[in-house]
Amino acid sequence: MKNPLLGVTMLFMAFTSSGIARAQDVILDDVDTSVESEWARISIHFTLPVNYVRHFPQERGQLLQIFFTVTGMDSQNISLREEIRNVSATPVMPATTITYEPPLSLNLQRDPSSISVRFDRPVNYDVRPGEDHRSIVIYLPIVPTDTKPADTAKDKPGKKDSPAK
Amino acid sequence: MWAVTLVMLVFLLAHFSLATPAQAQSDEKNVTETETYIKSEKHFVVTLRSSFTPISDKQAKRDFPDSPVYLIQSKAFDKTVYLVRVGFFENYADAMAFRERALATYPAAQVSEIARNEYLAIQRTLPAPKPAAPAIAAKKIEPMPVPSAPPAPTPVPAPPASTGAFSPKALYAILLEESNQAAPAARAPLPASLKKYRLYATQTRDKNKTLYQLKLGFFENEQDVYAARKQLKDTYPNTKVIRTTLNEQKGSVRTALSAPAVLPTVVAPAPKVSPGAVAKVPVPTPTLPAAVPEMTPSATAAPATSYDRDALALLDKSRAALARGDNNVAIATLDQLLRLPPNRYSQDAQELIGLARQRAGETIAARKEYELYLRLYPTGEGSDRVRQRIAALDTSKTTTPPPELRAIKPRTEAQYTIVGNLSQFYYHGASKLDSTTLTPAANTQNQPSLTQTDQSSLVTSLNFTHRYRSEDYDNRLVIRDTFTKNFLKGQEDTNRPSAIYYELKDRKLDYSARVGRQPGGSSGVLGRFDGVLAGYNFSPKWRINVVGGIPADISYDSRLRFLGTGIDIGPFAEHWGGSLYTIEQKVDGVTDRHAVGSEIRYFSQVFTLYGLFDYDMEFKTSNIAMVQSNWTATSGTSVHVLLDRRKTPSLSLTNALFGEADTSIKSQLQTKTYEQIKQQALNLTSTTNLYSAGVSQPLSTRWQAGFDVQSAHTSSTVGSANQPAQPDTGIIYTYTGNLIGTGIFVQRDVNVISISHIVAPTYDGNSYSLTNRLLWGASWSLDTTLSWYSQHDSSTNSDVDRFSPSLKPSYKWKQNITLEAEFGEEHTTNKGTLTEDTTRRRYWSLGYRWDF
Repeated sequence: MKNPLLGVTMLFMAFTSSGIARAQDVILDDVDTSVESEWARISIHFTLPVNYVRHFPQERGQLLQIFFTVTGMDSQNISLREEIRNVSATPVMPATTITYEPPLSLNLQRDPSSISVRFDRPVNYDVRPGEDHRSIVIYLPIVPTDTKPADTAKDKPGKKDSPAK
Repeated sequence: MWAVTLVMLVFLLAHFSLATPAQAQSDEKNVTETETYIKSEKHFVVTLRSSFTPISDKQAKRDFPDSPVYLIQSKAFDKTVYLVRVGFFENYADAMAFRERALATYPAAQVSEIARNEYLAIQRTLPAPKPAAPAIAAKKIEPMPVPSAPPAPTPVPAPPASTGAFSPKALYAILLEESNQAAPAARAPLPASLKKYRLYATQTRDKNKTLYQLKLGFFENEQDVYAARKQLKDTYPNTKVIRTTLNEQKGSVRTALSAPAVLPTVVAPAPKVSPGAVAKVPVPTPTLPAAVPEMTPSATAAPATSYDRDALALLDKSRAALARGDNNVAIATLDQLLRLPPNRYSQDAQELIGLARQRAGETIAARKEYELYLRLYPTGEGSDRVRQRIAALDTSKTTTPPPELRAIKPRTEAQYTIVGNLSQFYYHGASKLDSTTLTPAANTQNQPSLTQTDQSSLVTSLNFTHRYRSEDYDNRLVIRDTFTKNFLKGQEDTNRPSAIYYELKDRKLDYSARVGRQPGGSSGVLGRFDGVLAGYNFSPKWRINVVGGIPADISYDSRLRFLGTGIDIGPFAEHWGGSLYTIEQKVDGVTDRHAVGSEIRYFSQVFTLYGLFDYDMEFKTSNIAMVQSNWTATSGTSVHVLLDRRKTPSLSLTNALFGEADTSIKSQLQTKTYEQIKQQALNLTSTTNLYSAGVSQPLSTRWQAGFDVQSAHTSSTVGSANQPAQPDTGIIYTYTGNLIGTGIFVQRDVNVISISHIVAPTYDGNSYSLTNRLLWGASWSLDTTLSWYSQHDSSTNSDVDRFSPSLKPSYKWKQNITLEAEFGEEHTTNKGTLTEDTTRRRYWSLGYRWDF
């Protein structure tokens, strides 16, 4: 770490702040991104093992809903508060907001937990359970702007008298 | 009945025989000259069977082992028709002769002429050439003339833009200017350091408008492209870094521009150039790179067709699948694309399916795909590349795989990032209870009413991650904390840090360590803890972990700490991995929990499995035995299964403290023996069995259906002197069906309709819910939820009804500020034989979130 003092100082301040009480179960852990030559990947990590159930829409959209069950969690400890993680936009990936949606009831099997993933623009994607069973992975094919070479003069004969001439 | 079926089949077959050439004729409008040449061939097949329900071609393959037999489906009267066919015959007479022989076994056999698409698709998928089938002679295809821009005077005498070849990996570009009226021209000469890049023009469509763009490309990495952007910012203040395609890179040669040799003396708006004029800027012929394809029927050069949109979506999907190693999905998707009429992406898809088969180890099939590519696209850069791939196939047995077949290594660039968010929300809730006592005999009612504000708090949450990533390190500082300021009397303020840790990962030495408050869930740690988790990969597939600390979610007057170690193993046999661990937790000097356990994992692109077994050595019983699995088919169907048996709560000595006023094990040990406390812990711990399974099936691009079933059972507890026994719950079955749709109310919405039926030994219940989540404009979103639950308890003859509507609008302000509110009500009626209670709780919240 280039600035180790920053980390140590903030860690110390956080621990020594007054009124620390016990933590509640939080579902969302980190969100990682990686970019390869043909695709980008958003890995959503959870603090407990999760079982991917389904996602929708299947392949494309701006708003993606992923359903999963959290195993090994008492319903009394389930987080009933939204948790939000963000992914900054890059040239190949839209800005993305990942929101953990608390279940509608404490029956976690009847009402599985879900995360909604909101992209800044509609994208194609694929969703798969993560290899460690504590994550869900979204694959985004890198789709550049769909452009084509500018029309040739042959295609646009009427443009001969352009201002550039 | 048989007669009707026979007539239907004959009608259908006649329909297909007539319809297929017509389809081919319509496709002809969009094919290139090369494809038209091939279309002059006719292909006949014999359709052996047809059915509206799926049928198998296995028997036919056994009957005609020397002929290509295949199963294909088509549409008729909006229904899917399945056809078993045998091919291919160059003329009608040969096909009729074959039919005569087949009639004895297949009385409905008919001769059909098939479309070229069907022929090509089947040719691709056939395992090997069949000697009995008439071979289709490969015909020499004359290359098309090189399309070139007509010569025109250069508007600005200047050195030519770069026309050198770029690496295929150089796909970053800078969008310098964009206009919907005329193509922007270069404003100024490029800095010397950027001369090697190419200035070029493109155009695209956006909401029925044509946008003309001026770009500079092509950069291999983000660092270079952003550095160049910085250099150009004064001249082009509205630049944007974009990712382009290889096709755009290739096509840019034809629209390369020259930058002005000198800066304009008068600062004025850049002269607008019409698209035609831009295109007429000549690229000096001698400087055109040799890589300019003689014929480029690729995404940029082929004529647009109505199928392009679907094809592009399929191509994207296949590329993603290919990239992550999901070769079967890639093959299936590309096959789907190639079954479409010829389009702008057919050529790319034909090459990619070869690559996908190559990666899948289907060398013979890959070669066939590549050979078909060369027949369809015999010239150009792509054909050269495909020839190289074929050559690589020949040498792959003795040499290392070509670079594109090796595992893709994540790119890591040294960078610091700070991400997270800070939010503040005010929550308010008020409830009203009306209780009615029903005394029919006396005909009297008593209606006491109770109203109170049950929530008034300001919740501030911080989620902060500072991360440093380089080739050698991946370090991060994570802070997640929630502070609640309570405004109600008697309720204290609380501060709940859920994570405060620093993590160090050394990529070179392959060790990691995490210090601070962190989530558990691995290495036998069952919950959040304050401590250290460290690991070291002493070999590529073996990692040793050490963990130690204090559980964070304990409220006893006892001191707990734990120490554990474990080994991570894998991956083995490509898909398998797992871990073994042992952990001992002490409470006030005696063993609280002493467990050994293992995790087992299987992971592939279509099937995953995870198992966890935790056995307590002190209590000599299993604590957790769990298996969960998931299977996803290429069609989108997914199945999930969970089998979970565990102690509830997780088995430990401190379970004996439930209900005790004195929550210190040390104190308890003064009046009881350790064994007595252990027995008390067992007496207060139940066993929960949870089994569930579900399936999801896409119905269309807009709808998906799912069905889940689960059974849950929690055993009784014995209880203790201060904690009453808990009864056995019996087995509770829940059946849930759900329907998920998009674009139902507005274009960008997701709707979830869920219906559940619950059957328990003493009650039955039904649950209905509708959730609508929609995006409105660029900044607004709205979540609406309607939920209704009803239950009848036969043991007490009581009914519960609960209706819960809620509304949650949000507005995104200035990219990183989101304003959110929520309004909801929960209306519950509990009706017994003598009383009726009605509870109404209204709640709302309002706040903001700042993303940084």
